Amino acid sequence: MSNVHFIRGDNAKPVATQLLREALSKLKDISGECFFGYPLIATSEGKYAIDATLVSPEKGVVIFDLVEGSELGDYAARQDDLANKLEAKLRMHKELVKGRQLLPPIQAVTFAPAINNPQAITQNEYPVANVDSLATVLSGFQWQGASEALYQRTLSAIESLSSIRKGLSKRDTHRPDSRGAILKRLEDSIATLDRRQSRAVIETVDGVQRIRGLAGSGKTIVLALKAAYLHTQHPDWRIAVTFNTRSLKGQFRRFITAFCLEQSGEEPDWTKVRVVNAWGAPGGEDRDGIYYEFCRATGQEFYDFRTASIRFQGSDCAFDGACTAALQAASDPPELYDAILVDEAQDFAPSFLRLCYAILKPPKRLVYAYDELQNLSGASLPPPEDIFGKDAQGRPLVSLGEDPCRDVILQKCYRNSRPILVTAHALGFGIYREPPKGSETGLVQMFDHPALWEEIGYRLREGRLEKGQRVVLERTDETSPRFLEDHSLIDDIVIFKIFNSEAEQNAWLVEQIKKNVQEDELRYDDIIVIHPDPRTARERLGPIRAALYEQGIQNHLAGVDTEADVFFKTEAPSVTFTGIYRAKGNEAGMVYVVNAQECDVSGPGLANVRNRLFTAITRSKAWVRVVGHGPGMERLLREFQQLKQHDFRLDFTYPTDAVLNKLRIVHRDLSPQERQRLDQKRGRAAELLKDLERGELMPEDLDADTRERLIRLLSR
Amino acid sequence: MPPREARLIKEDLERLLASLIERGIVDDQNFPLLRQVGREAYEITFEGAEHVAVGMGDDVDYDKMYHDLAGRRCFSAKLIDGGLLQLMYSFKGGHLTKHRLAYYPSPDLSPFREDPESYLHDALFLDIVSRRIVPFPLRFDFDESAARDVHHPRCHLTLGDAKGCRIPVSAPLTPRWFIEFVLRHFYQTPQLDLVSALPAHKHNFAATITANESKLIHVVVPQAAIT
Repeated sequence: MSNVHFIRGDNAKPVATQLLREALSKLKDISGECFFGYPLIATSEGKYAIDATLVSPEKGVVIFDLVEGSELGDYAARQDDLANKLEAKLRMHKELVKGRQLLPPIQAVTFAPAINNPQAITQNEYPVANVDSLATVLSGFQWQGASEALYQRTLSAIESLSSIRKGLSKRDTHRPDSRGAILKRLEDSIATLDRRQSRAVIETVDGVQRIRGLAGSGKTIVLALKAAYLHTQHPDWRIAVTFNTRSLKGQFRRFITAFCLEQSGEEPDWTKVRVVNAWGAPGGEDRDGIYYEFCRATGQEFYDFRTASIRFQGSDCAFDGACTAALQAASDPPELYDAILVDEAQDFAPSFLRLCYAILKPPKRLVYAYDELQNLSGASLPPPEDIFGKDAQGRPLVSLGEDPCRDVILQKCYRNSRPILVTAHALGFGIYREPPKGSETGLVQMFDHPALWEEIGYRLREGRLEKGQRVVLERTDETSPRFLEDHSLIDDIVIFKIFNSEAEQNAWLVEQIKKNVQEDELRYDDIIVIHPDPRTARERLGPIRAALYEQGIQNHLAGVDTEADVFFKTEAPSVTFTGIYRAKGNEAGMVYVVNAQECDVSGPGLANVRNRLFTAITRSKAWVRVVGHGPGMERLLREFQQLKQHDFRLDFTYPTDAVLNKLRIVHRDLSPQERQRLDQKRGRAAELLKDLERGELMPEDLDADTRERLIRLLSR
Repeated sequence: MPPREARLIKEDLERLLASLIERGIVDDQNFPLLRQVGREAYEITFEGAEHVAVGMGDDVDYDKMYHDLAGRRCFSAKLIDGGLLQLMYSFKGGHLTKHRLAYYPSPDLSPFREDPESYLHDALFLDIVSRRIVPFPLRFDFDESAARDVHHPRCHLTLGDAKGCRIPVSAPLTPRWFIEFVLRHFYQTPQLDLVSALPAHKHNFAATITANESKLIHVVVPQAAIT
């Protein structure tokens, strides 16, 4: 086996691609990365996808011109053309050129597996190879003067996804040690994508693909670039990118435009690659959405948010109800799309993914990205076997199997530094939460599969990663790069602070924000203030906003109507205030999480509020302050102090299946009906207590057995 | 030094905005500016006001007009359901010569009152509205120089930008009266009392309606008790 990694993009030549892959796999003396259907090259005559490109430290860059069948055509001209164009593209990268010479050598080979005697037709300098002669042809290529660094630079240039992430606007800094200057350096370093992200962009799967990743691992950008890549490859495909918060729409369009311009030199055709809401409503292109389109195409009754909330018992189940009803009623939905990419899938019910699946043409290219811990709705997404249902023989319609191309995990985290990410995980899972009375664990929730911890980039330090065992987990330098945390002291990166009252907290916050914009050289849009509970964000953030306003500091609340899908208004300096929903998919250098005490409740809904805290903390690119007051904040502070004492490692006993089940029940979110029933029962208990206190009911009035059982149950 | 009346009006507006921000009814805003524009001439305006003319074109679709105004941040305040408030006053020689007080509701979102719960709780899919709303802007204009008895009352109310719609108004409106008018008629609900929490009145303008105009159906601005 050789050491070549394959990144399988799309080139419409499946047979030759497969044979080339097999042939290259057998070569022992070659390593590197081989891209299929990549890179794309923009020229004055239009755009161009190279059938296959091998980047190898031994051979340099080898372009493959694939031929299926025996008709070679004018392959010499094709080889010249491809090589010239790629050379022109690489010459734009200064680091690959010395004087006027391009450092990595570029070779071209026509790979035609159906030709029997390629040596006979090979002209000078224009090699033709089949499976058997590939080794001989490649052995003629050598990269003189190769180095690891040069190889890496060449690879980056070929992937060329690097420039797309770059920041939106410039920042002015005067002091090299100000927060603004620190942020500028950080932004420059994270402008590049890593290899795994690039692979996820390019690798195309015929069927369902799942992309999992931590907050800040780049799911959104991967989805956007993937849509753009498919669009450039197949301009006639109908592709949808869909999500549930308007605030993401602008980002998607920006990324897709940047990719298309860089890769194909053309603006995307927005009638083909559509960035649309999951729900949608009548009123033109801008308001369109997947569910609305489904209703239109099938003639089903369309529900808007209000009518669905009324029809399906509450706003939490509104969209699920609407999708389920539409799917049930439409017997034979039309195939409307060639590919659909769903972001933030953890917030959708399975019915929406099924609806997407239903309107896809075979082979049903559905890509969905999700992060279990950012689930804010309370119900988590089941495995694909359960989401998409079974065929007539009872076999699941979709199964990802063990194929890493179908089930991509992005484990590197670029947004959050190690201390921030581990803090978010520790609090999200309640790793150092004190066990409630009578409970063996303080954990709030836990992955069902222990192995997932390693997949998301943790390393086992001590113990065993098994159910029922003690385990100590830590981030690695690989998955949480050091440079993300070296900019400031850890004590400055994450701060938990407790106040005596909300008013005191708010006053502190106003002072901090003033300092950030006046002394720290932070821009207004470097700051987000998040109140974790969406239901009360408006009223609770109001006083802070008013105080800042009175001091002349412009700020806004990210509302439902964040105009033109701009979350941060770059042209008008303004500090962003938001509830958790509108914070999603966004990031900033300085994040304030206020009234954090509300993320420590007991019993039902605890997992949900901890996920809010997790999501809020992971918005931070550089610094985060978690503030609040009261006993809830005290407990969170203690959890954080424990984490610090453990050097930002997660030290806990992995729950057994029995404990896992219990956690799921105890901390799950309740449906509105369940919540109502629970409230009624609590009310009855309160009444009993009141009666006892007032002496309207004496303990002796209860029969001995009841009394005894009550005492026993309550003292558990 | 700007005239006392101008300073009072600016302070009134600032206090009102702070109070609406605090209540979470205003999502975004521009600071009121008081500046000298000529000899003894002052105006109260806001940053972004230079684009206010896009809201005055005759042949512009309301949808486009609204989005232009919102996109350029041409407003004194943006309300919870996307409604825009614009307040501008001009003074010359120490007294009011013009005002333009406008309210532009959002053409895309359902009005606040249809679903106040979802708005206050920031429901995720609030923007999914199927019914096309028929929103109409309204404006209280005051203009001394353009006034003609009955045909162009000094202070008048224009509904839906309809040409020639100038319902006589008895006196110019302070920011306090204008904002109360909008809140009371478009935002107040039985559960949510926005109006009585507004800061107290600080100023009254003298009546400007003519005898002939007051014989027509007209709007009366009451004299408020000043605290």
